[in-house]
Amino acid sequence: MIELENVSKRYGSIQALAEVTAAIDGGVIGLLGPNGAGKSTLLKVLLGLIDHGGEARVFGLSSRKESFKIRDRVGYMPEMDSYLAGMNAVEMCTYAGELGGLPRSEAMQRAHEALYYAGLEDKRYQKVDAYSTGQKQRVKLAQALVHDPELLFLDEPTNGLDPSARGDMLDLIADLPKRRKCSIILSTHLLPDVERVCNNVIIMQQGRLRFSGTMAALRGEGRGDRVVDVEVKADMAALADRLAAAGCEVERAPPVGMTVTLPADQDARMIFREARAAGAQVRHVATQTMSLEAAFLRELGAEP
Amino acid sequence: MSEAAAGTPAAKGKTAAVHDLGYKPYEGPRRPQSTRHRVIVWNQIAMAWRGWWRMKMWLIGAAMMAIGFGAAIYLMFFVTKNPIVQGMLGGSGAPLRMTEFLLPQSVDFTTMIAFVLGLTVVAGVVADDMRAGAFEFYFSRPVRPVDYVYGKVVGSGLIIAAVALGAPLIVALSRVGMAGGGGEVADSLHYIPRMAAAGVTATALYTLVPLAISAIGSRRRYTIAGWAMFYLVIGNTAMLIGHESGISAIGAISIKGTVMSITYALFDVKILFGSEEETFLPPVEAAVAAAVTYTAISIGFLYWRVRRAERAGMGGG
Repeated sequence: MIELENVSKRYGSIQALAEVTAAIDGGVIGLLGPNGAGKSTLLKVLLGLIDHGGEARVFGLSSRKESFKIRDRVGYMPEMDSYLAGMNAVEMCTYAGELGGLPRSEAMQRAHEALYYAGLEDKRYQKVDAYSTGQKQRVKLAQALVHDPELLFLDEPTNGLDPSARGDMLDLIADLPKRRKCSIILSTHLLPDVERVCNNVIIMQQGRLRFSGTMAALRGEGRGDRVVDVEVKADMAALADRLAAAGCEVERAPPVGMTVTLPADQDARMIFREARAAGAQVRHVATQTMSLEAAFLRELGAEP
Repeated sequence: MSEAAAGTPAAKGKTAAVHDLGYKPYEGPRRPQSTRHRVIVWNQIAMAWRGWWRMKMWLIGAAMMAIGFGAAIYLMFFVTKNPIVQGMLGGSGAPLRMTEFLLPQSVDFTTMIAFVLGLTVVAGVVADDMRAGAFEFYFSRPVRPVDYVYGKVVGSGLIIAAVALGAPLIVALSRVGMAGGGGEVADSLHYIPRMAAAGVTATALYTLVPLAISAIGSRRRYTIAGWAMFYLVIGNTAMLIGHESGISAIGAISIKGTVMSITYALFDVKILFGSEEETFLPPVEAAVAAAVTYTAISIGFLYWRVRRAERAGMGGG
């Protein structure tokens, strides 16, 4: 869906993007990074709004040469306030749909649908200027959806929302790919938001790509370094020896516990097979997965 | 199309709705990208059409003014052609010559209304978009800065033209319509292109200058005040200085002075205040140069500001 090849962008002395190369498939993708990481600049590059070095392609279209075709197929929810003074939500979304190429009647119908979907059905004739922060976030989502995009760029969509409104917004974001069959790039610095709705993640720091892959891969799952805590009723030594012989790294925690690092091609079922063979009764098995925060800090090169 | 309201996450909370209009992908044709600026034009007009004091009241004022001038021209014709009145005036034909003055004078009146429309409709347009972050709204879609500028200029221009071009043309058509026979009609047809040229000049200046001023800042109250200040204070001061100093070309700084100088030249009418030297209006050459300069600077500045906002207006990080 998105291909980046040595994408670079410099603002004066600041290197906003440095030789970013990645291939990103569909789904809900978290674009993570601290402030100044280059997240918004990357979105600008993908929308074809700024000149850049290297090659960025969305749907196989060059963001430099075919940005208008890309923008017809992409919805953008900006981070900052972005509305039209004096308009109500229906008018604004209808206008957005028309600018996105829809005929007026279709744009108006879809504006109502999008506002209903975003939970603004009873507020849709109020002027957007007077909306609360949460309502403005919702109308920004609705205007990004109205022209039926295949890909959504959401820039800090939960900014300024209280916990309840934040939960509602994340529910909406999680529902979009199922209901509208669109992919999402969620730019944020909030790890819990990414953890809740994303299945893929891109981590950026100081304009450089630090990680691109699935959430499971970020946490280290499936990379051969999965760690399992095991407790047995008796005869821990026999099981530990068998596991070590089968290629596991075993760290004993007497009298009944051990920490086992499984080989890359094995999963937790191996513990039970070996326990049966050793005549040991397993009382507890728990996979030690790395928290997203710890994985994020690891990718940034910081200590968890 | 309808399905259970519980189908959407937003419907789970207290805002639960009775109807869900559902969703289906749009597979119909899309408007060509080269015509998206028309959407901006019509939106500009639709927004101005709201409420009485933004546009409608001033359109009614312009229509009444056109009717008033039409009635005055009719009266002049009646006076000229009535033998009793002609006898009283000694057959001078002065009333008929007065119509030659009324035609350009109608432009003077419509520019007053165009100035007010500039305040209510035009001078806050770009400032509003800057304040509300609307550039992100526009430029994340297939809209170029040139589409935005075109949309705002044409949209605002059509509103101003309804007053600054439409009303004077009605007056000119009234003059042509009152001509007696075929030959007289043909002789008076030249008023229409003259009035059209005056109206187009007024439309261009009363649209572009306040629109460019609206792009200076992001607070509409300041940009509106800026247009009023430029038009009333700077314009009139320039005409006064031009008159007092004897360098009447300085008066071309005034938008009204420029428009009226060109208009009177088009109708070959001179408005004098005592003598040839005492006119407040700038010479037509200076007025034409000022009109061209204002047009070029306004469009250039507007485009530069919008282009800059397009590049800088999408957040940081």
